[in-house]
Amino acid sequence: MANSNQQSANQFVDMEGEITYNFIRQGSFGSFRTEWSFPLEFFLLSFTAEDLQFLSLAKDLKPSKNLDFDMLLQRDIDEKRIIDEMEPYLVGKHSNGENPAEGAVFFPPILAAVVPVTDNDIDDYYENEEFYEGEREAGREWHGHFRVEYLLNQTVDAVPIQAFDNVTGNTKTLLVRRNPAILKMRLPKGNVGRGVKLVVIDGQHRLVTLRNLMESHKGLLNGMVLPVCVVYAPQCTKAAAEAHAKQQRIIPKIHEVFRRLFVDVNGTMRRVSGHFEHLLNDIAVETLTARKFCQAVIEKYGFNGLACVEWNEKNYKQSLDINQYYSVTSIGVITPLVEEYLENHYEYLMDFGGIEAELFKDNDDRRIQFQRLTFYQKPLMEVQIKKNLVPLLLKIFFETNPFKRICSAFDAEIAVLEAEAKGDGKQATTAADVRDFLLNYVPLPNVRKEDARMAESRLNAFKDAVRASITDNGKLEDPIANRVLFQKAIFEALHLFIRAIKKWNPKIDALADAYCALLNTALRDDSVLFSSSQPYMQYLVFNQKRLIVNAKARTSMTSLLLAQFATPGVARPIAELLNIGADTDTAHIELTKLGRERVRSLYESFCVRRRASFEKNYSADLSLGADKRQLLMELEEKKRADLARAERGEIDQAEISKKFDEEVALEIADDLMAARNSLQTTLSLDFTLVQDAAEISGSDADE
Amino acid sequence: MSESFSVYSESESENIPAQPGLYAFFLNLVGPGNCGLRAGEHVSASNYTKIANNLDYRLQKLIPIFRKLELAGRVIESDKFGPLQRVFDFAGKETSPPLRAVTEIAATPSELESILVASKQTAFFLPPVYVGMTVDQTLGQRYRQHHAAYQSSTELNVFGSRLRSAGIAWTDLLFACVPIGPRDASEIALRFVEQQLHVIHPPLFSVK
Repeated sequence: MANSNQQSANQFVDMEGEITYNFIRQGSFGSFRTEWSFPLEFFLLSFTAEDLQFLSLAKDLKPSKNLDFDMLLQRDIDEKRIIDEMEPYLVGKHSNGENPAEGAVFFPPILAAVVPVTDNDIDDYYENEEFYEGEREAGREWHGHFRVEYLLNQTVDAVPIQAFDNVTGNTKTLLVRRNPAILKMRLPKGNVGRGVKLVVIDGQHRLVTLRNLMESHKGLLNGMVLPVCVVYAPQCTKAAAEAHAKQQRIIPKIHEVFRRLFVDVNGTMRRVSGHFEHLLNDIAVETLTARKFCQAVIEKYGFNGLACVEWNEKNYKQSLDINQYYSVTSIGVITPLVEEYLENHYEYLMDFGGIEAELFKDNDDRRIQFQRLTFYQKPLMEVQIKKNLVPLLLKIFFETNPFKRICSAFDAEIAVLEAEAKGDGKQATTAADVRDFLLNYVPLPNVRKEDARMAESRLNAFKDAVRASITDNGKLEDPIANRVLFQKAIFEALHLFIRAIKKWNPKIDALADAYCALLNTALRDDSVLFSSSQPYMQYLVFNQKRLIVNAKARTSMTSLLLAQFATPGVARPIAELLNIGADTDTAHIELTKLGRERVRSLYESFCVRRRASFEKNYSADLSLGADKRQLLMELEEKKRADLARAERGEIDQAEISKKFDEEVALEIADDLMAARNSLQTTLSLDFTLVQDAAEISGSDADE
Repeated sequence: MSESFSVYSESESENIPAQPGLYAFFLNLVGPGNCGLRAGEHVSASNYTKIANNLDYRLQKLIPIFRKLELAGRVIESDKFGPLQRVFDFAGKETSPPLRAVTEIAATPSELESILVASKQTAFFLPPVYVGMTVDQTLGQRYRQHHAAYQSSTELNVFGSRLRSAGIAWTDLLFACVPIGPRDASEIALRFVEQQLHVIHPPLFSVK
């Protein structure tokens, strides 16, 4: 009888436990704490689709005195994002019938906070903590809210946790296993009662997406098990708050802890940016090209070569520039240029004709989204990129003379560092540090000030030495080849060159050889054709020595690159390099024609911009006499007045005074002549550039 | 006096005249370039299978496009009336002829290459796939309009999207045009010529 009574009593005790906690799961336990941070503990659990009903959104809780928590946690659910992006991601197609990127589909873990509630209102703290320790297991309980149970563990893998008994004041360090552990929670049904809610801090949109799909696509989530990370703040108890208050210390309230966590998760997590935005995108042709290019640089030119390519800049703005003197290019520069200038030539460059049977095997429609390759298209494209686009870029940036010069200067100074590093003492260590920074991306020493200063100084000396080598100790101008604007011109000229010759379908390595021959011609003699000292470069590309950074300057540089074809003897060997057999003669004629068009366009642009610059600045140009400036102002005013009268119909357009234009033409005539003569001479033109009065006053031919 | 028309491939499209006129698209179906051979390359033992597969793919995919006529109609006994009249409904769908694999016909690399070279020269032996006229736009503008539709339109009553849906590459097309001078560029005249061409041999992708 006594035994059965005992048994009954035990059964009653067990039943009470089950009723107190109605959500019981086994998972992996962990804790997050540092010396200064407020400790958080978490459980990694698996939820089936049906279990999603146990998760709550912050907006489901009653707006309360804890409004700031509510407002912060309540992100507006972006319905459009759910419909446009997240639902199709799981369902498998967009509403217009296109397929999103195929392949593995995965949602990262939803992060849910254990929030104490009474009648759906958030409580400030959990119930007081109690703990117990048995022979093999231990547990901690915040009675009526939740309870965690562990297996004790004495091995080296044991996790130490601080257990508190807020009633007795006892504490104990328990050594437990992470896995398995049991989490038991009291989840009130509806909005009545006391317990905890699992409030989603990160993943609200995922949760809503999944709930919507359970309604609209019954069966879609069958068998799906989702990762959920449940997090709680074990020390946020009433008793702990009171005890700390006596010592004038503050225990944050539950909603304050999770508000901080929410802000950290949603606010301070930076979007991947800079170069990594390109390198981590592997479904766009141009970003795949950037990655394959970097890989190929390492394979062919080693880490010295890769150090000359800027590829790991996180700052967005800096990633768009070429920041180092010894860099030949940057991923942030060439990736968008590949898309902008070469996309229209992908069919030719990547030989779609050769892979047509595989590329379009399952799809009649020939449209490829180059920024959103499918799971099936990507490996085919990668092969073609590696075979065609990458060698073209390698030749341009590592085998044309100006870039070779930069790399040689870099290699030479690296060799100096290597030699220093083999020595003894501080200098050797510093040299090794700088070498490792440049080649292996190890941060420079920054713990001891002296070491940091020496490394910084040695790095600056390295950069200065590279620059001195490239500019022949200041005798030459800074190279134009690794200026961003010039590299845009390289790609624009490449696009125009391909447009002119692809009808003959030359092999890509022949195209690369031909284009690099053009670059070497254009940039010969230390790029003297692009020097700011050339009269035709002023107003077009340079303002004195300062590079003008705009689209017109870029177009002018493009024109000057292609204008090389106008030089007798240039077009023919380049046409021959294309290796197109009987079409070589035609190619020679067309390239020569292209060169002439471009040199005319360049000169016309110079005329227009010289004129525009004069008209804008003459009134402050003290090299003109005061009388001359006065005259010009009067003539300009007369012209303006005549224009206004013509607009009002008072005079005919032919009666508008031309005296101002004539006077300006006189003033700039010498500059136009100097530009024309320098173009004729530097390009050895076998025809005369003609100065057309109508063109001088007309619109800019480049636009 | 003999008149001639000008022909432009996609890479020459910048040179299409800036004048109104009549135009047609021809299909440059098979040639060395669109089967995977570059300039200066030849069919060899190492690439024979790949080139042959590409050629097979083109022929097997594209020839049925031209042999897919579907007819449906009703034939009525014209000398009878009422219940005595016999009526026949019929529907027919064209089947394309069986194609032999290229490797059965061209057993060697040089034979395969000969096929490619000869095929490239015969683009104009095929009827045009589209015939049109333009008065308000120049021929160049009209070409670019069709190209833009090819790249982005999804409406099936648009030439460009029909072409793309049929699996034809824009680079497979040749644009032939006859520019018409300002004095002769009458919409009535050009429209009439266009319609007659449609009547005589309806181009495959002209729907209207």
